[in-house]
Amino acid sequence: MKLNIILGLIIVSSLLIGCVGTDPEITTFNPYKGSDGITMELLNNAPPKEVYEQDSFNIVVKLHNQGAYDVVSNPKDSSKNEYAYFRIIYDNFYFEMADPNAQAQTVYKQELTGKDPFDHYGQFELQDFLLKSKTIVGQRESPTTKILFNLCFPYNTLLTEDVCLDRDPFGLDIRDKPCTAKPITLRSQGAPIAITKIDPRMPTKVAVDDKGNNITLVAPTFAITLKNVGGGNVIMKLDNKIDDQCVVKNTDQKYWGKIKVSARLGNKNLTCTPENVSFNNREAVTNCRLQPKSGDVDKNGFMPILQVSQPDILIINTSYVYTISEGRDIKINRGTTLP
Amino acid sequence: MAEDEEGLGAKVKARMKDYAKQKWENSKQRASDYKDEKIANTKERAQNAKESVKAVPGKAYRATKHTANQVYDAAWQGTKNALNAAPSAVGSGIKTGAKAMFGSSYKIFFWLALGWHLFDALWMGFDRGGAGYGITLAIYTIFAVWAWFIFDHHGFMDSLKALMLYFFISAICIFAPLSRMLFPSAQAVFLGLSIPELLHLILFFVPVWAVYIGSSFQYGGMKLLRFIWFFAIVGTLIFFIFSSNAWEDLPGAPASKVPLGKFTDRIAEGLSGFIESLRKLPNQVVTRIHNITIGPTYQAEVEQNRGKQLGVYLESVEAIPRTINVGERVDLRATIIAKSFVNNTKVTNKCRLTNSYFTYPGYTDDRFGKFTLAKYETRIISCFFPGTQTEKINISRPTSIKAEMISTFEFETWGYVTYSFISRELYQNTLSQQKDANKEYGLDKYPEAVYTDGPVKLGLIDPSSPLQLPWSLTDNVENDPLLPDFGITIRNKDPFGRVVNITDIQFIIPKPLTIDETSCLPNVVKFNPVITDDQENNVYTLKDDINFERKTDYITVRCFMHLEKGNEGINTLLQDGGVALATLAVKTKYTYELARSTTIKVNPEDTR
Repeated sequence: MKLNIILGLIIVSSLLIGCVGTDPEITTFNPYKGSDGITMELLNNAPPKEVYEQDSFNIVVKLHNQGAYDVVSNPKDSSKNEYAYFRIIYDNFYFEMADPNAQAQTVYKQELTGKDPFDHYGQFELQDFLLKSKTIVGQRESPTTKILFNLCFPYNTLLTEDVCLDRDPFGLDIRDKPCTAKPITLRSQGAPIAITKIDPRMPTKVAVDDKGNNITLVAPTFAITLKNVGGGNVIMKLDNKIDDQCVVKNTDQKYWGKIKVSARLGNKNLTCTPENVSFNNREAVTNCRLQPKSGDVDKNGFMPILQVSQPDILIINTSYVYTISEGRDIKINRGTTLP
Repeated sequence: MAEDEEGLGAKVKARMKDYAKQKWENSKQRASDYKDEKIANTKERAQNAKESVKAVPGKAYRATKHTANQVYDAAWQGTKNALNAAPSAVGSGIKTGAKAMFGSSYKIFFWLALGWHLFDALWMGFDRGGAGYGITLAIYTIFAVWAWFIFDHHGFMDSLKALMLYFFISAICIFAPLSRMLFPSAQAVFLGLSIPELLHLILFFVPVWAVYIGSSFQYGGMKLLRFIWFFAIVGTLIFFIFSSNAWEDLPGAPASKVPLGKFTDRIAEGLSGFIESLRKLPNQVVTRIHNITIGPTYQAEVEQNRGKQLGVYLESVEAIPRTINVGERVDLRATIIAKSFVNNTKVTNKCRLTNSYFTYPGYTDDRFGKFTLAKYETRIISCFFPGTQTEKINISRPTSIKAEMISTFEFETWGYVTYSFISRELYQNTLSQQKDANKEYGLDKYPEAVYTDGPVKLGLIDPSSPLQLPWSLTDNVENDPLLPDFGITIRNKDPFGRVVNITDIQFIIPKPLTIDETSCLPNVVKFNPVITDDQENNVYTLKDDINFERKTDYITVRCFMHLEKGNEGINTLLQDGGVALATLAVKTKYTYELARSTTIKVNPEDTR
């Protein structure tokens, strides 16, 4: 009897376990995270810390797109002609290119795709430069000099965030509502310029429609805070001029330290003021609101809203050119030493 | 009645007179007796003292002998006991010593503080830049906190005051070495050391934390410190005086007499140099004030070489024999060392005997008179004064005179300074984002100026108005871009030598930088360069017209720089990256005379 009960329990348990099972957890990779765009990393000992005079040595740099934006060119679209530019700057008194035909300041350009759901790492490339130390002039025994590295690339920060068009921002209506407009704090979006805060304001007013009914209008305004988190410098991106913009002398001073911000609320365009935002102490703020006289938006930027608060999608897009610099010291030793 | 009164008065007067006279006689007698007695006593005492003194040597001798016997006996007994007990005594001595040295937290702290001070002084050289600053800051902060835990305090306020004191002590240890930067290192003031070098020496001998801790605990604290200081001071003096081959035994030199002679020579030389520096000081101050109105004096750091520093050195000057009679021959020997990366060094030698009244030249043979030293070579040179020269010395008593070896040679000293340039637009953009352009682009804030060692110092930076880098340039102005000026100061370094003349000064300026020859502000140098052109540099060579007067002791040349082709030159310099590095070099070639001396004792006649 007992044996039968035990067997019965085992069979029932097996059936139950077999039927219930566990669904594997499905995770999706979000490439819009992190504060790096394209990074440059010099490999160990390339350049070395010490070289001898008349000695050739390698500089090997790894350019890695760790953000979410693809820096690529599209042969069919001339507006999408983008590269990362890498430069080496050195003192001609001590160094020269091992190849006499190379330019004094080497520029190397490279396309790099960013992270996506299928590529969690982002594209990287290694580039090798061969420099040569010159004969030490004069009585100097072991001078130390610098080599500077500069990386310049176009990039884009894209944010898609749920927001709430709240017809009762002050909570006067005691009824439950689907959503509430409140400030949103963010960290990074897989780019060196991050949108760190969205502060919504929802001025509302009541109007009468054609049928004589009262309708609520709302003029959603979003104060967007951007922050330079990549550690480099930013230049406003001008279309079709990326090549030029990574050449310092060709960029007008009025574009330095500024970016252009564009935003949409659902399918409605927002107007941002200022459109060309200046960074101050690595932060910038702009106000974006509905474009007047577009679709159902009136001349003052108000749009009708349903009887209850409704969620919507805010899309913020900003393009810019970003530069990063770094320097390394190299000691040059004489080929022959004296005691 | 009146007559009776008169008679009575006379009687009283007479009686008083007799009384006074008698009193006076008595007093005189007593004084005389007292005087005789005193004299007699004094004479007796003197006689007794005399007798005692005569007896002292004998007593002392007997006492000393007795004491010596006692000491000897005790010592011998003690030695026997010690020899028997030595093995165990050493062991327990070490244990006692270790306990004595490390047996408390004070002592551990003391030895650590002293050890760190020696490490900071000898290994790090009191470096307070870069990583050196961080390490030093951390260590001395730990010391301050550690002291607060170790030492006793009573009450909150006392504890707080003590903590402030400990951090103050640590601050002294950290920042006192920076005082060396306040003084120029160009001028040797004592024993060939400049003020920064003397400060370094003082800092070495004052381990602040160790002093404070050692004075704060009772057992062996002060005695230990005195021992350490005495040993350190004496050891360092011995090291400095005898560090340059002083103990080498030269052929024919009586070994037993060499050390003492070298010691006195070194002291004499050092004092002589110090007095010479003091004598020149007023004139140098006046000259410096005068030259400030004309232009700045430039400075730079000397490059430290591996092993021996670049230059030519005359060492171990020795007279053989050190004592002569008039009319006897004396030989002078020295060691000459040359180290140079660029050229072999041509040397001409001579010698002389000199004092306040006379100077007699010596003779060199062909091997030592003129020769060429390889890039690194040591050679012994010799010179002699025959009897026919020394017999001219006219002295009436034994006299010390100076025997001097003089070497004249050609040498090159080079100076280098690196400037960084940046596009003004790039620079302003960086600043507008509250960023430090130096950190952003990995550039030094001040130019690094270095000169190679030798008997002459070169300066390339004006310390009174230091240039801040990077230097920003823009072509958005009508006028040619403003560039920093470029100047050098050439100064004699060795107090025992002098620059005979400067044969060549060359400025090597990387293109597209140039020098505006019309803007040069010479001190005593006329600027008539012969410009040659290599592919990468503009080279300016000054020949002739170089006047290095002894009274000024240095010369300064300063010129303004320009860019070739004005604003176009900016694009050539900065290219696409907007940042550029440029090293400017200076070569000075000169003839230098170096003298080293020793003293000879000359006797007027054969007094042996």
